[in-house]
Amino acid sequence: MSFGDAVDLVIGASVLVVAIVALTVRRRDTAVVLFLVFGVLLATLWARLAAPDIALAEAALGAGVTGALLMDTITSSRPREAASSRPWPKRILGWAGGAVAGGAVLVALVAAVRSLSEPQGSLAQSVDEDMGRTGVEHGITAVLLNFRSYDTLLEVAVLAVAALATVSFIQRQSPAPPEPWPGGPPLAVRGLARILTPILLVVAVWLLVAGTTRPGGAFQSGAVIAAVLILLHLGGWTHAVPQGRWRGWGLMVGLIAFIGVGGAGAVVGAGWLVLDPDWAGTIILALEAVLAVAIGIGLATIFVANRTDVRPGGDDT
Amino acid sequence: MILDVVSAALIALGCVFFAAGTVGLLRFADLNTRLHALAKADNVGLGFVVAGLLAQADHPAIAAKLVLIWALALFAAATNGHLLARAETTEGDA
Repeated sequence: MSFGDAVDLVIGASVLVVAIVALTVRRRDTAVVLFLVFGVLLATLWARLAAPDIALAEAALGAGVTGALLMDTITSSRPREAASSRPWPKRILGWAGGAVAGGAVLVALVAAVRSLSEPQGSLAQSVDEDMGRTGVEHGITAVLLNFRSYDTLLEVAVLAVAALATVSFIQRQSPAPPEPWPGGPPLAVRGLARILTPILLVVAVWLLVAGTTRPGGAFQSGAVIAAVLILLHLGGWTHAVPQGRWRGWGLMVGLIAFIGVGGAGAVVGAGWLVLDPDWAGTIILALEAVLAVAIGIGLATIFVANRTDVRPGGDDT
Repeated sequence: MILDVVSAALIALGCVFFAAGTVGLLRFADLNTRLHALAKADNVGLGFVVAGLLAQADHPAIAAKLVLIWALALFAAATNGHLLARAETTEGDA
């Protein structure tokens, strides 16, 4: 067993341990912090598996945006609920049932993976061969935005629908978004927002452009843009995340742009979502830019809508 | 070769500081002292790890990105520490 294998084993074991502890600890804020640690360890694991795009996405979205959502939820002004008080026999039964089911699924998965033949490598090879026609030089971006762009279109649609659903659900309970800080944002947060916003915007644009030749792309850039919008919202610029009239447009702009590109391909090009090789690079970059902004607005809207629910106006205990 | 030794030494020193910060997190009495351990020891450890990696960087852009990562971690840790201590103080008063 080489040193690399030992490191992989340690990271894999710690991912399992952190996941189990995060699910079983009694205090909610401990569970959320352990979930953040889990996200970071998982990103390391993806990097060890030579999948840097997924590692970036996991770190930005899993540990970043989801962590912000969970942190915001548990620090709400609702009274902390007591630790769960189910009787012990039921808990042990639940544990045993979960362990048996998990073990059965694990055995089935291992058997299925081992019964697969050696990968022929033809799929990755055909991606490399046809890369010249796609307009980008990075395999993942070529697959996401050109070869299988229909899947990405559906992912963007899912995000838009999720954001709209969150917003419309929260809307019923309190129409106006309250101030994030009752007494105004503290100087540390205002200062951090001022310092980080230009840096993070440069990082977001860099991730976007880097996606054409190396790990990066629209989703990672969108997560950074979401972080910028959330930071601005918390720093006092509550209009950073679109509210009111502009919110619907902000959430739908990515989907509209994507369908527009596909439709333009159908009308004047070779077909629905088929990109002409001469224009493909430019179209992909422009589309990714719009997608990054749309993803950022969608995620930030979910975050702000979550805050609106837990702090009803005028409830200062 | 000499660069590898320097990198290993610096990264090992950084790990020592991280371990010290973790011991402080586990053993200190209350929130403020724990924040002190995290904000100081962990960031110095990160600085040493980044310094060790700087010796391995083969392009100035990579070195600049590493230093930027350390600076951003410093900002985040400072703001988080301040907000956590502030929340505990206001909670205690109210």
